[in-house]
Amino acid sequence: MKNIRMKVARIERDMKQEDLAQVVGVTRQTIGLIEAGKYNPSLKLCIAICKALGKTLDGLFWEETP
Amino acid sequence: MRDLIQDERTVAQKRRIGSETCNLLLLALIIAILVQQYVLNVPFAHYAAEFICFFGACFYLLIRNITSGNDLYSRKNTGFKFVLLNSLLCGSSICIVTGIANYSRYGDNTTPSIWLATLAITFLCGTAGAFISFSILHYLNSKKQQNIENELDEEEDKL
Repeated sequence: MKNIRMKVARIERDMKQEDLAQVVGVTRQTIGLIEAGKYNPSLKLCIAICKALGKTLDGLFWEETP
Repeated sequence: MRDLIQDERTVAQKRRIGSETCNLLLLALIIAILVQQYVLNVPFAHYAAEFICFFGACFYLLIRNITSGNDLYSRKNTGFKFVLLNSLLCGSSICIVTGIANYSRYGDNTTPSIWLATLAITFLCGTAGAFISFSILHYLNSKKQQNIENELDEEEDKL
């Protein structure tokens, strides 16, 4: 499942995938895969992404209620 | 949920153990090849299996990493400078190992000039061979990374 909220949060911060990847310390490919829903990040990486984007874990990674 | 998520810790630990075993096995194989080739002086047929296994495994590791999109030449080390440095290091290593082996085998029967010429040729051939191999790897790696970048750019532009 695509992580649209993460993508939106990143764009709101005016960051490119490459910028976020550099802040978090991973490759751009990893960020792309998380946004595409093709990679399941560790809790450590989720927290780092949340901190970089100024969001909470719930806000970015919790399943959306139908 | 219980069916979906395995115990991540044990899975990760098992993978790490597998990876360590693979590394140890590769180390044992290269030691076995070097000892047989340079210390025991046995013919190639005696250690051909180890030779094929070692280089086959190394080739597989490289190709799998490249096709999976793992950047072998990270951004900090891009460019032919890194390839050239690696080639020189590889050529020097081959030169030193072969030089010591040749000296111990034929040291008494050769003149210093012939020995030095052999060393120089070995170094040049080793460096050139390594340079060609590393250049091919660098090219394949760059091409794959470029494809990934293009795909990510397309995805990013979609929104």
